[in-house]
Amino acid sequence: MVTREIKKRPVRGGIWGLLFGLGVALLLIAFNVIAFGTMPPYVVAVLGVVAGVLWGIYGPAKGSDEPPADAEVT
Amino acid sequence: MKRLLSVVGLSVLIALFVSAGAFGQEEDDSFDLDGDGIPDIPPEGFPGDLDVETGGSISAQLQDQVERAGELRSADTGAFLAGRCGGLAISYDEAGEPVDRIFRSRFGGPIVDWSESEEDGVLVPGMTAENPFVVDSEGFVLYYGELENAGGDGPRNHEWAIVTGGISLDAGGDDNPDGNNRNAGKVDLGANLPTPISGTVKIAGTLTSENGADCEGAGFVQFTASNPLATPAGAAGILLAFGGFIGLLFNSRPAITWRA
Repeated sequence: MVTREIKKRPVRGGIWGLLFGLGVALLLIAFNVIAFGTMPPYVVAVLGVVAGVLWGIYGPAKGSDEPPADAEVT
Repeated sequence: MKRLLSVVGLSVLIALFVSAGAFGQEEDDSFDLDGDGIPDIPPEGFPGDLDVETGGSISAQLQDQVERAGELRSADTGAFLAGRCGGLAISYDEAGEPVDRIFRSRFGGPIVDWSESEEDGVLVPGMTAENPFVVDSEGFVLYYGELENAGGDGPRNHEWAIVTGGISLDAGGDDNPDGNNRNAGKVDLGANLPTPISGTVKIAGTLTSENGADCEGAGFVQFTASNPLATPAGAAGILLAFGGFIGLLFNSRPAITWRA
């Protein structure tokens, strides 16, 4: 008998989201969309963290929807 | 001392990368080469020849124009310069063509975008968030700065610092025993930067001295490059954004598990 569970990954999502947000912020700085030394780069980085955490919690789950062949599902 | 006055004047915000000076060249009292009533600096065909005498003369002419214009287009500036400090700066691309020009009188007032003010006859605030001082990171910048106390002396035994986002970019000081109160020079970014840079930066600077010749200011400088993606910020941005995206896609999604 097996139980289906969804393992959420907010910490991983936050870390990767931070990297993604920092990258986007640097690109926006490089293309002169936002200025270094002001708030927007930090806002973009924080938005990346928030988006990553939400993605790690509510993103589409990966893995098989089918239980192991020899398992009894409850 | 050269670095001191570059810090003091408008050009200080750019001169944090390199400092250089050019003194003691011939003086000319007219720089209006095309007869439009606007000084043209440096004299056409001689980029890099701005010296203290030339800079001082041009600064005085610009001061007259600023006083005559009297009208300043209002804006959310985000830029200021406080103290008896002023000057001018002109940025050029690598071919020697002017890119942007700013001016601020040492008697006070806003930092003015000299280029745009020329075009429409109304003073336009410069070094603001909406209208930063544009610098070609493959080109160069000429600057002239002046700072004096009530007695005319420059800052003696002073200390200065430049920061951005709370991070110290550079700091220093000088005894300045001669009381020098002005400086001019050229910052050749193309020759001195190891790689072009791109991005808009808000920079703040302060200078304090023992004889009351103090100055502080802040403003936006926009560095441009022919290929922003080939700059350090652009390359790092691509790597981080791509890596973060891959991590989000494959390493941080919720996972379905089956527990016995």
